Amino acid sequence: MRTTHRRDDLPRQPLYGLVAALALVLLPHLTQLALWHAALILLPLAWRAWLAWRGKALPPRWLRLVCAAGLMLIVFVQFRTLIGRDGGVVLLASLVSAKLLETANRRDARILSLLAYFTTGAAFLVSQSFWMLAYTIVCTLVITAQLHGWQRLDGKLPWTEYRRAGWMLLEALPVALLLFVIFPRLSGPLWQMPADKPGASSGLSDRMSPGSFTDLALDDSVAFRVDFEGKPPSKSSLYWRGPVYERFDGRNWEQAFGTTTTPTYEAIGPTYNYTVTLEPHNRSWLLGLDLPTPGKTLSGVRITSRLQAVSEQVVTQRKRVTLSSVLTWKMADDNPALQQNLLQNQMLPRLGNPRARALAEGWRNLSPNARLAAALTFLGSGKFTYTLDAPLLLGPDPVDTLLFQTREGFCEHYASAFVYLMRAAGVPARVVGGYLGGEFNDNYLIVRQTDAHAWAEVWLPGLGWQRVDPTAVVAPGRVTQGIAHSVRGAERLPLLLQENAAWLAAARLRWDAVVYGWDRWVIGYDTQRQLQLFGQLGIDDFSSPRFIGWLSGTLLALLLLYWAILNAQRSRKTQDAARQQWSRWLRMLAKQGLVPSASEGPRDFAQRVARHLPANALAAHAIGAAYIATRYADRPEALAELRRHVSAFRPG
Amino acid sequence: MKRPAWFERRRQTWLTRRHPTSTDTTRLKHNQIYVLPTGFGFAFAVTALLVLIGAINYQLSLAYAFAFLMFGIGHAGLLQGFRNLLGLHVTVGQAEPVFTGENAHFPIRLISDKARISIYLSAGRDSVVAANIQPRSSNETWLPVPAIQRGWLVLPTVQLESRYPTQLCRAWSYARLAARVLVYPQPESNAPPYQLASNSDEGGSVWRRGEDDFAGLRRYQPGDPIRRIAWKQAARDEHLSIKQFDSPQSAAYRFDWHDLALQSAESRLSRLTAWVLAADLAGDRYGLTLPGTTLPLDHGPAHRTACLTALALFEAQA
Repeated sequence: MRTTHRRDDLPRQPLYGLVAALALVLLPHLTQLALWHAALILLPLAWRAWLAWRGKALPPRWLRLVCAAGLMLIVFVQFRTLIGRDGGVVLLASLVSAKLLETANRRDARILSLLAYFTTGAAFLVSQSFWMLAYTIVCTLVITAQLHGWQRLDGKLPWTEYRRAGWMLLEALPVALLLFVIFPRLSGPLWQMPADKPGASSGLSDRMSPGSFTDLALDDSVAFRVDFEGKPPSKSSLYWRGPVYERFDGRNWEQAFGTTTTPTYEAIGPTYNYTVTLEPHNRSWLLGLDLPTPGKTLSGVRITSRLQAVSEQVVTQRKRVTLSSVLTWKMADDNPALQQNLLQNQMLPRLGNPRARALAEGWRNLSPNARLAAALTFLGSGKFTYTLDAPLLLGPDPVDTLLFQTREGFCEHYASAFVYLMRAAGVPARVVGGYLGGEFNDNYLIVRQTDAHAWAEVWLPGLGWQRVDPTAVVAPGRVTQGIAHSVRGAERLPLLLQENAAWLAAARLRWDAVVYGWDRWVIGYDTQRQLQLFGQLGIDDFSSPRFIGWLSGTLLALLLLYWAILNAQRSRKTQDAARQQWSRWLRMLAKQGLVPSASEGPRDFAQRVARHLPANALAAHAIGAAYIATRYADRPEALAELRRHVSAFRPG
Repeated sequence: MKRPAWFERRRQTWLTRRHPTSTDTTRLKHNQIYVLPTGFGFAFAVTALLVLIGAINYQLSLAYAFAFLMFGIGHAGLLQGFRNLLGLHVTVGQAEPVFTGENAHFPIRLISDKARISIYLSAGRDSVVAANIQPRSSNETWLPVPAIQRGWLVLPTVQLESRYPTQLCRAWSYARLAARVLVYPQPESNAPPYQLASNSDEGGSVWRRGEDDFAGLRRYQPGDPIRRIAWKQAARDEHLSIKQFDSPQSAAYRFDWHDLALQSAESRLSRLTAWVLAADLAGDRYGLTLPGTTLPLDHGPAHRTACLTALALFEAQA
């Protein structure tokens, strides 16, 4: 039988460099996996390094195959697929790891280096943060440096190779920047990979249960950021409208999906245009101020019959959308098709909450506006507390328990109870989830999960759907000043939202501005941004003379830069060293009263020295010749001769 | 793949014009260095393209940037390879004469002001050596060139090549150095003893084994008898030496071209070469007669060289 053991001919130092590079490259992908899985993928790396260290032969072929197949099987069991984004990347990581076990010559090592480069590029699927970019640059440096090791004759990987790799990256930078700016961006995917399971994400969900917003309040991650065109509206009217919950099962609120007629509305007051940069939330809804209007809205965004702005695709990547909104409006209720929807919005489960029902039944004789006022008066009586520590409402009558016993709740509790009262009183009402307010950081607004909020919409005759925020009457400060000022149990809020962490909050805002700039100009550098940037440079068209001018100018500047660097590097060191030796010699001669005159070249001066100091004539000629050879004839090997003669020179 | 003859001619003309023959040190100038990507370089470019396609598909701006960084690295690899050769000084020393069928070793000296790593020198397919150079120093490597024909062997165009640091690109240049070496005819193996074949004349001295008077040392050459190696000397020197003996009563032989009953000129030269070597080794006096040339009876290294040179250049003179 033919032996399947492969002898390991690889020099050790570059091999350790390769193992280190692979470990670095795999790390971002491994953070997405369970710990045991990550450890299994790293195992072949450690094994290979150990084999090299002990000078042992590589494992036999069957063992290598078992290893690769095992890693693939685990990926398949975990992801139920080997293609697609997540499964594919983990498969790649596993194969890279398994491939190292059969890497026995320099060619294999180079192929593995290519895989390492590719895996590094795939790390941006995990994150596109600034830190990830910095990390991938470190990875690239290490991969490139170990690649140098395979080219060396001595089989070593000294630190100078890392320095050289660093230089190469610096040289690569102008090319990369130029390409990044001018390479045309396509605005859609080339093909659709099999749908990937959306990961767990924080943010609003399509069902609202008691306590769901309380959890969000404790999460200070950014939900989205907003740039306003022109002056933004006042902070207390920044209701970012998300999912609309219409179906109620006695405890939870859910979105209703049947299509209804879109009510026609008439805008009152100004239209606001703004751009929302949404963090991925794996849902299709977008967040716009109420009410979103078709105004400047781009394609790919739709306004539903429930007046929600939604994206045509699930938002799995950070997304920028431009939206328009009006803050006050009037809806006509003359459309008979709408009645069906309005009836749905008065439905309640048949049983439960007798006291709340009785209270609302008592308002039935009043006009819809008066019923609304009565409910708000009831909630605003001062008996209710706005708190993060609301007790769980587990009984069969949660609304009764909240309104008449515990009287403690968070926004979703009050919105739910309020809509219950309105429906019981015969007014069409529904719950709206979204965000309230946000934090201005210079010229843009940051909205965090903490700002998640639930409120109500009621249908008033002649006005249509209008926003009513029951939390505003329970805790007026929530709307005007933010959550930390208004809620009980604020010490449970993230540290940075608490009032005594002002300096920390300021530092975070500054950092957020950097991150946002990064997102807008680097991550979000798309067709639109590219055109905008070119527009600022006065380029409207890729074939315009102006663009060609810019392009050729930049290329020319780069070439000139390289030329200058090449020229500066060329034997400058030797020439400097030669001049140093020459000056040393001149200092010796100055003591003898021999100083070169302004018009005297090195050769003439050396001849004069030879005449003045006959004992040193030979040395003087030799020094002159060696200096000329080094400095002017570009013969670096003459430097050693020059140095020797100058050192041995003893005038007199 | 063989290049067509017209192409080879054009290439030679072009090379001669672009890389003039230098009798002194030649310095690789920027317009004498050529760079092309290697197969690995193409594979690297394909990898970068795959990253770019992924970036387009997943709309990953930073992956775009990374793909472009990879293109940048490829470009930097090109520059690095170019600079690994740029400004390198190349010069050649005197090579020792060899026999046909051996390799002539030309001492190529590389001089540099900065460190240069993994420079491959070659003169033809079968002669490649690699060298590193420390900053501000020189490195002498022996470039083997197969000696196929007797006579003068001119050092072919030397190709200097570097794939360092990344192997993405191959940078190369040519140095045309004026150097030649004498190639002696190949000594015939198992040649008949010269004592029997040649006429022993001119005094008719009695042949004796010339081992009585120690005459000196000469450098060991392959084929010398091991019992004549000066082991004491070998312990001190780097090379082995052979003890030589002077025997005034030793026989004298004349090796004459015309006496040989061989067909071709080359086989005659081969036989004569073998005899010259054997007689030199034995310490005998010998003379050589070729058409148009006659070398007197003598012995010693200088005489040996003179005879071998005459044999090497025989046809050229005739």
